[in-house]
Amino acid sequence: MTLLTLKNLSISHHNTPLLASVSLAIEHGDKIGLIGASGAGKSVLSLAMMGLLPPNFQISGTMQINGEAVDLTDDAIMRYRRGTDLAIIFQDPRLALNPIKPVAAQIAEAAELALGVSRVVANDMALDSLARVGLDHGIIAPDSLPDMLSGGQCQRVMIAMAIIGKPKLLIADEPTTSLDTVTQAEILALLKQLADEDHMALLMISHDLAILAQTVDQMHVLDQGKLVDHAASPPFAKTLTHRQSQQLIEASRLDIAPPPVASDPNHRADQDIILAADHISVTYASGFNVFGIADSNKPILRDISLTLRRGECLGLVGTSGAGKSTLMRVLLGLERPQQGKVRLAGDVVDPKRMTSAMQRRISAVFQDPNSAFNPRHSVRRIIAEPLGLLNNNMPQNMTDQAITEKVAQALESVGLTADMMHRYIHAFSGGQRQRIAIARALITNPEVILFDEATASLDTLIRKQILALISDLVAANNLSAVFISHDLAVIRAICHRVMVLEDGQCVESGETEHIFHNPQHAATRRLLHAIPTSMT
Amino acid sequence: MRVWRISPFLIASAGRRNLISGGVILGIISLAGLISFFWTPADPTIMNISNRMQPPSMAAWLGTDHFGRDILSQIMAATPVTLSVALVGVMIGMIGGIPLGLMAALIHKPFFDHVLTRGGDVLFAFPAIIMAMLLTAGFGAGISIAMLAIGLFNIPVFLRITRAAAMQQRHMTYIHSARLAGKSMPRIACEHILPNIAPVIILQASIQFSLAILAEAGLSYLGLGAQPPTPSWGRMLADSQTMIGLAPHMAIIPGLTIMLTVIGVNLIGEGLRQRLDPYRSRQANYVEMDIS
Repeated sequence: MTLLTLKNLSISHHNTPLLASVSLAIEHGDKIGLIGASGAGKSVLSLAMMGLLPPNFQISGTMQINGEAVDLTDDAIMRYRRGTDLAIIFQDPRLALNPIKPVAAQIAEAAELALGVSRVVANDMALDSLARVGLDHGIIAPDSLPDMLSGGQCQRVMIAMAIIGKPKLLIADEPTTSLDTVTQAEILALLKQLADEDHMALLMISHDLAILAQTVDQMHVLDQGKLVDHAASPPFAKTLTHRQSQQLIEASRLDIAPPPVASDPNHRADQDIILAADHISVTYASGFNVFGIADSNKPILRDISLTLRRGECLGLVGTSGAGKSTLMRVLLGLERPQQGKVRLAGDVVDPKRMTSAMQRRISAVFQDPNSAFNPRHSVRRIIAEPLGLLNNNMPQNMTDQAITEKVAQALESVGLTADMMHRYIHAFSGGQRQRIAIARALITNPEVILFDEATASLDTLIRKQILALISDLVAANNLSAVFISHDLAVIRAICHRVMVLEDGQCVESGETEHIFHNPQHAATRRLLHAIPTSMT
Repeated sequence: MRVWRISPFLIASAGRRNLISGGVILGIISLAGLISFFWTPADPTIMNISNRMQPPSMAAWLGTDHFGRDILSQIMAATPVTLSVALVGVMIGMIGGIPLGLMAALIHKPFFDHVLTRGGDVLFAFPAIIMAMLLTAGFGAGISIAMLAIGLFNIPVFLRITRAAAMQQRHMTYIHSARLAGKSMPRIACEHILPNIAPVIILQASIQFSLAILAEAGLSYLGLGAQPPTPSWGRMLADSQTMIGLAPHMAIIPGLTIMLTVIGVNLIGEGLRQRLDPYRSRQANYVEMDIS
């Protein structure tokens, strides 16, 4: 019997339609992928199936579990279904776990609620479940708090919690978006293995076709609330023919080439170096005594050296916690290393002695487009902020009109329109925000731009657009760039050279293509292996 | 994440409704206080023992107290005293506490932070009443001492709330961007951090204002605030307590006045907070709902 059928499920919120007659049938043990760009209605669908939508959403249509109709709006009924029939894991496991409760106790609570077993039995089941997701005693203590675990371990805890009631269907809503690629590959393999072992159906939701392609057997494409395409078996790239599917397939191929380096034979090699870091070491205080003075230190970066030539894109790649972001702050002069020096065009970068002439030459685009802007400032004020650096070097300050012109120019260069400058940041989507961040970084005509995971929070369609934009701008403005990412595929699309970081050390560096074809270090091979490849 | 349009009229007017009703309440009370400088129904200090403890009537609208003084006149005459003690008390707290809180959060020196916050804790250990007693011992009782005592007590309150809110903002990426744009830390504090933590501070200020009115009442009750015959809401409340069974209106009327003022201040604080929320005002009235 069919495990779950959705018939003509339509959902709207304040008369805005979010889902339009979605029909879906899931058999026992199916592994189904649901793909769509952001805003397509993927999360609304998964929340609706769990009966978790707030009451002010209008729901019509029916859902049947094992041939039995369930009322999606009746929380009392849905409660009995959750955990035993249906379970869900969310995007950000850190937000989904209670920060002050030991992880084993959280899993045991799920068992008590789903199966009605006693506390003692539930505790035993929790330990078994933790072992199944690869977190037995040797790896973490069962009474660890979520804070003490890595992002990947937290997601494993969420999975342990979801499978403890032996659900027939596990919905995974972008389960790896907040994780680095190596951890992502591990989590995907784990989900697949658990689904096979328990004959559990899996509904994987993602914006990335490459991630789904290596996990699922069937694929549905969701576009603006409608299921527009379906492929019953791999290879998906050939079966999916709808325009939206083609776009998504196209976007998951990062076939952008790094910008060409202008080669000028008259230049001497040492003149070419714009940014150089020389034996950088950084340690963070990890404990304080009663007077607030550090009494123990944790090394973050160990003896890192790098050089960036003019017109070059350098990739810094590594898993979470490898020290990438710290290195970026050091390069930007936001933080002083305990040892070593950073030179920008020959001048020493020091947080206390940065002149505006030096600061003008370097700028940055940060990872999270949600916290990168002051929500109380207009886009014009946000983009114009670094112009103060130019003012100091000018005979007179810029007039209001000159600022407006410059901001308009910057907005247009990143593919936005000048009239957007008077809006506030919350009126923009993630991709637009990232464009605004790039516009701000470009406004002082810098020579070096540092990109910190600039595409990590974007969906695949937008990611490709932004990467292409960055590649064009770097070539057009003769910029040098440092591109930080955990995803080697992104690095390959845009960087000439790459440096692999692990535990604060540089383990390998060289030409991107060379590293791709001939990786030497185990960490590099792990990163390469984690790139979702099989499109066919 | 998607942005849903959710009845903009309701959101916009909720903030405005609070501001208007709070403004009307405080406006009436302040107006009564202003009028008292020129005119009160009767002289608030003249005693008339034969007419003492009269319930409200046409002759004395809110009744008379145990010395036969007109309660309405007393309430009116006490308004400027009480409100100015509360206002100055909160202002001292804000002027002292906010810059210290910003410094504690932004000057990235653990030792400095500890000295400031532990110093604030020491100040916190003395409630306004004890502080007023200490100050009275040195400088004698009076309104200005009450203001100072309430103000000193408020400094660590604002220090703590500012520090905690600023610490959250300090790690936001836009602070890094501002530093890269060459802005100094004091400038970042004023341009970026203060506007973003203003809602929390305003809310705290309205709470502290209410508490300051009650603290003034407490101080006057102990004889540490306004000295007789200067009337004060707190002392009126204090004087009436032994006679609450005989003449309940003597306690109820100043009590109600304090309550109304506190409600008015809180409404204004809440209205301002909603006004300043960038997601709720400005040209777009969106509520962001994260369902990703």
